[in-house]
Amino acid sequence: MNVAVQAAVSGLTLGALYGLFALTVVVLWRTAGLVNFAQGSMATLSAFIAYFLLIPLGLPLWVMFLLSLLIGAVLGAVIYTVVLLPRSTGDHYNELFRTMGLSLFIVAFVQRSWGSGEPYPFPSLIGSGSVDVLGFRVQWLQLLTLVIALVLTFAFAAFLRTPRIGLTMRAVASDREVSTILGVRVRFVIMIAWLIVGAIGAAIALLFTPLYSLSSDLMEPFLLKGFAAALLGGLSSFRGAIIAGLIVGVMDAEVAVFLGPEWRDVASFILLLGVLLIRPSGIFGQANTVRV
Amino acid sequence: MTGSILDVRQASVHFGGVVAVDEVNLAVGAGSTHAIIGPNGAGKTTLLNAISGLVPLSGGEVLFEGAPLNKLRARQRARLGVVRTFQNPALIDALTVRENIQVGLYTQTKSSSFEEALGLPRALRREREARARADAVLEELRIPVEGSTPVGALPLGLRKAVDIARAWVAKPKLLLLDEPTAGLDESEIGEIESALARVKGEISVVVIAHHLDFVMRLADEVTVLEFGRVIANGPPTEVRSDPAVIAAYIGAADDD
Amino acid sequence: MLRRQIPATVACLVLAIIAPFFSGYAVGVLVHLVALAIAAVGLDLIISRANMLSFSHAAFMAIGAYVSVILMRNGWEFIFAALVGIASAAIAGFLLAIPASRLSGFSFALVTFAFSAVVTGLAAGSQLISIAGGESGLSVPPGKLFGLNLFNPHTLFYMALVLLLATMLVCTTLIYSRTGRAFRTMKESEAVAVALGVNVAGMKIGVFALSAGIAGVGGVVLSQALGAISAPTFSLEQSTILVAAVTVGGLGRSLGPLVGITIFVLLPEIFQGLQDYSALVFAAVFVVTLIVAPNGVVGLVTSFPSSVRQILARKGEGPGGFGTQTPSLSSDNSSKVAS
Repeated sequence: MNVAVQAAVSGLTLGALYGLFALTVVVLWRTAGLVNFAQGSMATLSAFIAYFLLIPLGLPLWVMFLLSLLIGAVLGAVIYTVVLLPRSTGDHYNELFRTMGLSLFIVAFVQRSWGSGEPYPFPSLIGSGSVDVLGFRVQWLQLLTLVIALVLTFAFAAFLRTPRIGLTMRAVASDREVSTILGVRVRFVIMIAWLIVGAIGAAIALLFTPLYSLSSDLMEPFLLKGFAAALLGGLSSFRGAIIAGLIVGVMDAEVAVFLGPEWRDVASFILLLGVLLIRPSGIFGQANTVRV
Repeated sequence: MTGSILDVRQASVHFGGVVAVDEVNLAVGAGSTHAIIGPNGAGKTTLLNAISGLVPLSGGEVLFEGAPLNKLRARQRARLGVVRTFQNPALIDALTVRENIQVGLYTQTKSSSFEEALGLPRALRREREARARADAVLEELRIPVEGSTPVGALPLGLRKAVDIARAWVAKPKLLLLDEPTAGLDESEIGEIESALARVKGEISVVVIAHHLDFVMRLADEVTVLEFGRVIANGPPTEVRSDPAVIAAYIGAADDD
Repeated sequence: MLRRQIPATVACLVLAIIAPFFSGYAVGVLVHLVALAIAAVGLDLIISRANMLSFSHAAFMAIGAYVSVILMRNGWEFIFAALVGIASAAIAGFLLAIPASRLSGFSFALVTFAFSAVVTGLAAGSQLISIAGGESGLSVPPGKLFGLNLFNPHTLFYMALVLLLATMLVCTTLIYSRTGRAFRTMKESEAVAVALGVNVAGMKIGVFALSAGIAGVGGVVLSQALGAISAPTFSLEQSTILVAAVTVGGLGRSLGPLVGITIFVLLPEIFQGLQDYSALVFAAVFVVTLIVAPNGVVGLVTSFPSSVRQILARKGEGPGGFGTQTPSLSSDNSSKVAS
């Protein structure tokens, strides 16, 4: 029992990161109608840029963290401008393939520049100590990760409620065509979405490095579980993404403890297929109706 | 009511809080042409979707040849002989007219995908039969187009005609036509009308139309919908002089 | 309909004629190419005809390869091991497609993405290490087919080429059959297809299983060509490269998968000096192609004469002529161009 709860605690930490990743998937899906396959590699690249650009400056860690978010955001905007905007045909498959090619490119670039799978010592945002919560040992790092993830989630929710940009984003998310007619600058909104996605991606990568160490395959676990969380959450629900992320994270940790770490991916996949078999639109998604 | 091929009883369709079709009753006599008219948003297409199984009924039932359809999926209803067309014909531009019409024979061609992939003799024979039937339908409906013309090159009027031919080729028992005349000019409407006049009596037809003259000439019976409800029902001449219909229809008739 | 097959058939025949003059190494590269091309033809079938995106085709290749190799290592004849391997890939595709067929395009793609990660994870992982060899993979016993030794690269090459031609033939025949037309209608509108009596979910599951089985054929051939298999050969990245190849080649065109795979396999061989940068160069080629030629290389070439004609026509008629239409990846423009 004790073990199970202990696992759940670390699962929640990881799950919060999966949830954040899923959140970025949902943000782009709802504003741009796009699944960004480069999400993971973008985050890895942000972490590497932060490592080489910011660490030599010897800044306080929290400043570095915030600057990394900025780097991630800029990266997102650059990618949108360079990869997705030119000769945009509005064909979703074409856009999807572009992000896929971008992902291959970033992975190749990171591997070529900093070695394939080679670990880099990324300083932890916080020391290694731990604290007792209700009789369970929780590492400061886990607690901090959870807190930052929740803060980012709430910050994002608050942002969506801001009258100017937030509401415009929600308008575009709910109906792109109508928004265009109403004169909302859709491209501007999608640009904002990329900034957010880039920043959150950098945050995920930075929070994940102490758990995994910075390397070219840093974000690999997210490819399966982050996207799985997004699908489980229904691909269009912000709340669903976070909750599904937590579910996947906790299950991940429990499976690792009770079945062995090698079964984690299989378990997530079975969970995903099982849920989609019963509810194709995910746990929090709206059921589709037949389009005529 | 006996002798009717389609019986819609107290049918309702709700989308969330919106009542699109509200306790509609409709009886289509075997071999008759039944028109559904009404202003935009009156629930005509939704009613057709409910009959063909694309949207579930929230209440009531649909009987086809006396048997309830409610539990059958759309494709099972198609197999029973309830075939429909769409406002937007969704033809395959890259294929020819003949090949597009052959799609309508999908359920009636008895060869497996496996045989087709390997090009086995039985599949090839069925393919030849289907081609012949598609050509025959073009002839029968007097659609003035070669079977080998790519559909992408056709004007809207002919596309609509090909859509009807695609539905008609399977010799359905009940043909549901959704706005076969929408967006067409007078001469094109004339072509559709003469094609339908040719099959009239052979099968039962439910047709949604905006174009009143077209309806009056073609239909045996007319049902008028407004806000999802039936406001009038009867032979064309009767319905035409119904004051409720005139009131409801004047705004919509101006649109065309 | 079979006319469309001519360019690809000619390409294969040319390869067949010049192959004897190639060294064993060069033919080995060619077999590699053909094996991937087989999988690419299967992938193109579902992307361009059924509108289903798969990031799991390398995983299906893995299933074909691993199952056949494991059976051969247990003393099975090549032909039976290969058939069971291919069937396993098809069954895996079938099972995956059952829940996935109800999803929209992107969700489906994400599920296949996850499937690919799981399959490579299992192949390299410790769970199945006793049969799949874990990280180090498995050595492949040389196969014998009708007394011919597939260890000989030339023999293997001809077998692979025959399989590729047969695959293309089956796919083309299917596309222009009743089933293929139902698919195309489905792509235009699922509601219309359903209303005409088409079992949309069943068709999707069926064609996905077929496509997975074809990838399995490619996997079996590839395993014979490589002599040893391990998980990275069939990674998620490999699946992505397959999608990239069919896209760069040109979706829905008979030469598309061949051209795409050739670009992705041969260019690294030619530019071996670029070794370090090859992955970068290819990713860049892929992205630039998507931006510049959304219909792929074959699309670009076949539409070239017509765009020249359009430019000339525009000159003649003066201003007011319309520019080239924005091409769409998901629609089939090939016959419009041809007509």
